[in-house]
Amino acid sequence: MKILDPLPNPKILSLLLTLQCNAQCRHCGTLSGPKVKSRLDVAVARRLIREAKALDYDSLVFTGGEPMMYGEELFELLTLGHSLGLPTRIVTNGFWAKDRQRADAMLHRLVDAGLGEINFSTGDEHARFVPLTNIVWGIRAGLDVGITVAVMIEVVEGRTVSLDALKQHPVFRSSISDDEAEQVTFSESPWMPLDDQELANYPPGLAANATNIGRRLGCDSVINTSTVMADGRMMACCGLGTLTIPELQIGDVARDSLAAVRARAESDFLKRWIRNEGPERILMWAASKDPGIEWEDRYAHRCQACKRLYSDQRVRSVIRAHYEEKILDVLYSEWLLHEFVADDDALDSSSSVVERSAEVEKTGC
Amino acid sequence: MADRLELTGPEFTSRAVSFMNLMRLPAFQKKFAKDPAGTAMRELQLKVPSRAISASNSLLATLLKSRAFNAWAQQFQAEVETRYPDLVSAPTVAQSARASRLAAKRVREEFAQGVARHLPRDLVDKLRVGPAWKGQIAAEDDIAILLLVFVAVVVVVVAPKARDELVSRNTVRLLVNQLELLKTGPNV
Repeated sequence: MKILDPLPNPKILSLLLTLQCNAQCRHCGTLSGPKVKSRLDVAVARRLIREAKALDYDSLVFTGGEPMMYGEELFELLTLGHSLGLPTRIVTNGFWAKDRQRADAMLHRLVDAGLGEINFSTGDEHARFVPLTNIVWGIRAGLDVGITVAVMIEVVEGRTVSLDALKQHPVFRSSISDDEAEQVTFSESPWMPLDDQELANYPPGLAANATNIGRRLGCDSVINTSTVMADGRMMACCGLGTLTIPELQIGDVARDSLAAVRARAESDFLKRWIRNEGPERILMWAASKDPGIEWEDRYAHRCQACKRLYSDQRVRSVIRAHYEEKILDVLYSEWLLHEFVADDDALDSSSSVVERSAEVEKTGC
Repeated sequence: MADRLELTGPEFTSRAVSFMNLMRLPAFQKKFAKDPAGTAMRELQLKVPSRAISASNSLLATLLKSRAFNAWAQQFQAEVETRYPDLVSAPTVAQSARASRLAAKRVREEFAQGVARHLPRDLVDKLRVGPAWKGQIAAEDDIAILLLVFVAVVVVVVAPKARDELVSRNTVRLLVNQLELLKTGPNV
């Protein structure tokens, strides 16, 4: 792909196989926990994976809850996805990686079944239930089997678990070299309350405001990720917080196909607007129409900004009253990013400022 | 449910499809570029304010349609492929990190500088007098140097997510978003 080629809109199927989880994190985005028993029927999961293949989906994610608590059928689903040519990924808290041997054995089984990537979730909340050493053993095993390994670490003010803390952990230092650590994708992501009115403490500059809003792009999850909850509800995005946003619940496996729910999501201008600009910019836009809407320095996690957008009556009113003003801009942006082909007819010859400076130097005028 | 905030309807879907179809025609593209709001009203029956296209999107369009910028990007890609073959051939950033995170950072910074060098003059003139410049950059005489320093000092070239490309149209968009904010303040 060339640098300036049109961007694809990747299609991801994310299956929350079970909402059961050994951990009970505060503010869990999927409301999972040890006592939640909902579980996606394996026959439905098989059907959805086949539909995803037929619709040219780009990847398949197993998450939850804790997907490793789904049991033997997880391996069967991995094998199915892999056999259909879908890259597979698991998002786990690593509770099963209690020591190096157990982590190695599990990673080998997973890879043999067709796993291509493993993501570990950790941070102050997760570490209350799963020790950091599990994450280290999981990383070690992932590196040993040669798959892509990523680690997501929660960010809250005053946290004790950070990327630095993980890398300084004695077990990490003794078992993973600097070069090997370079092969792992570490990301630190704000940990958010599900209630849009409850404000978490974040390090300075992390929450969106008018100064840093330019660094935020559109939401790469809404529409592009089709999420199926363990109870069969079909969601229009990655699933974080969608249980508390009715508008993001757009189908049910009992009556809807993957194609139908994706088309439903695409037909909603607001979802396309969120995909294109992100919820923070929409809040900023709404505040420009109704200055009583306060949005700055509140939301570091964009899903919480999205929750605000959908649940605040003032924001909703502004959107309903004025959204038509944005339709053309969003469609034009979609076209520029995803459709515009820079062939000879489409290019203009106006020179840039530096080129003109060079011309002036050459010609002296 | 009636109170669900969903902006759906056959009008939107058909307009969106029509817009994308029409934009495949070079003649329509030119007409649209000259008068976006008027063209949208005539062809799509879409009532929009006269300033229907945001400054960020206008700037993004200017860059993507610039013959000079496209030529530069092609040359830049060739240079990067020569200098960092492992980095470019990796299908994901996670894998490219195995080649070199530092190299990836350097590529993103050099790309940002390339974007800055191809900004349209009117934007640069506004940036020169914009409040965001003040106190941050000393050399305001040489525009080329000023832009390079500007990118290094002011603009944040965010590393893409693991599954994104190294640099792309999204990177251009990220940069113009920040430039627009520095020129005008929050732009809605």
